[in-house]
Amino acid sequence: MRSLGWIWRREMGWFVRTPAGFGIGVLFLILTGSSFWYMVGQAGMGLLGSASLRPYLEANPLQWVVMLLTVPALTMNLIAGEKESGTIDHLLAAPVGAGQVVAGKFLAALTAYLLLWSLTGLHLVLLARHSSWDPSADLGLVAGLGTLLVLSGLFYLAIGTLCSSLTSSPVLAAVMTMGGMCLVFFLPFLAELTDSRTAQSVAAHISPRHHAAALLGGRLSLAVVAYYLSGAWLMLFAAARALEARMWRA
Amino acid sequence: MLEFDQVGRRFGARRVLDGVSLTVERRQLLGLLGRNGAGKTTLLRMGAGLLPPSQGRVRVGGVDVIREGPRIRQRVGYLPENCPLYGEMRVKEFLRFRAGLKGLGSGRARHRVDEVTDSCGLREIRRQPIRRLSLGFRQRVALAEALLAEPELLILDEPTRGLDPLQAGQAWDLLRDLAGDRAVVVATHDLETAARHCTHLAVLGDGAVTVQGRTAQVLDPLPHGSVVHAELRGPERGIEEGLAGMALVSEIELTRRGGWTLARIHGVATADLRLPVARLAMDRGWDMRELHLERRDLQRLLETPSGGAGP
Repeated sequence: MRSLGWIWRREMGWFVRTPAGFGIGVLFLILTGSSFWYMVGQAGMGLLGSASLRPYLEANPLQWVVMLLTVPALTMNLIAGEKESGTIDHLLAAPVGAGQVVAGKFLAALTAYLLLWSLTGLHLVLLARHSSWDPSADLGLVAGLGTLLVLSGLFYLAIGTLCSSLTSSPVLAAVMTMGGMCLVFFLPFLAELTDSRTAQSVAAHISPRHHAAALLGGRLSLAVVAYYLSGAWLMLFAAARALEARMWRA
Repeated sequence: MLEFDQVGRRFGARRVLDGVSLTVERRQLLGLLGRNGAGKTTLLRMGAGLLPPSQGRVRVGGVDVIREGPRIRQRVGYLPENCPLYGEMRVKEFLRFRAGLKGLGSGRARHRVDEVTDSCGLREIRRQPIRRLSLGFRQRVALAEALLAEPELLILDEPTRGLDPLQAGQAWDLLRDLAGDRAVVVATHDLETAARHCTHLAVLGDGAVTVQGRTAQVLDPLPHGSVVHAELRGPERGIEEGLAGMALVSEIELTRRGGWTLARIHGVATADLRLPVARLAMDRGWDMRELHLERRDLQRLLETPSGGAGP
């Protein structure tokens, strides 16, 4: 466990101190700022007169864009960067297992992700002070939004970690992560379009859109939690195996 | 300490190593020589437990390095080629991080970081980010890292690359000291330096160890007959007849250069002809300015599949 902690610390140091880590933070703030701007812009159309944020959260496409760009940026360098620079051998030469390496790096990416999202709490403070939004009426929505961000973050960051373990090019890892996230997001749409009841039933269980709607609606079910957690675990398990397999190929 | 037992390694259809058997004991400093692509790095990575062999076994202290991976890696210090390090970290911070990864407790880690910082001459630059260091200093940081956990076995891939001659000499002195109570394996292209500092040499060629043994044995192939070089000044004919008439001489080759006769004298079997040649020169009143036993041509060791060995 101590090794895992050291890997987490090193990775957090990378996020906090390197220009690349700084760039990810700036990118995130620009995207979430744009999203907030879009939401406030809708206020001009009278939407912010509503006491609830629900219409904006459900109709804001930029939220998905934020995830689609931030998650690959946070994970692309985790393992692919180490392979590209050649430091992965040095890391694996220490008495640590591939699972500890993957877990430490993933937890660091998750920490950075949560820290970044926590900064957007400022948006809520601004809305509460300067608009007709009533936070007390939306406590369930805010809690659901927070849960959604944590659970979906776990899953998407795990996809990113897996993609990063499969290649030695961080850029390719980012592209693969975007592809993976799109697949997870849009595949259920295709299933819904078919006539098959089974496919539609499966789509309802694996659709992040459905899960998001349930969480924002204040319905936290075991199925939703299990979907995200088991998905994340599966991806991280595969990432650790991929890192171990690299040893046998390289 | 480190044992390669009939080790082979393939990458797809390409065979890199085939049937390599090599043993490194405690208090040995083994220089691993070979051309680029000979498989030195592959062999060292297998020794460090980073790469499993396709065939054969690799053991450290009698324990299989693949089966007992993490436990073995605690006993091995490994310095990879090109010393890849985290550029954004400071030297001391990096060493502390690696000490933590190697499982050193907080107090011992602090103590060891201070020790290796001093022994590798890093005190002045310990607060600098690694990306700002010269290649030489980066190499020293990597060496310091390998020494952190006081490993019983040190595996170093080109540890003096990028060092100036003075630094390289200091690094070799340090390696010799370290080999006093552990096994050290060093892959290097610096043949002359390896011959000067290593207690043992092994040459990789064509996927196998072509020559191995104590440095003196590897360099002086007496079993195949010794060769003495002498530079003599005196009557040309007298020198030729005198040398040819010596006991145990099988062949002589003479060339003239600036009034001196350069003689290459082949002895029979293991005969060392230096003393008889010196006595002959004194008896005949010849001047002599050079007399040495021919050592095996190091370059040739690498160039020929058999390691240059032969009758």
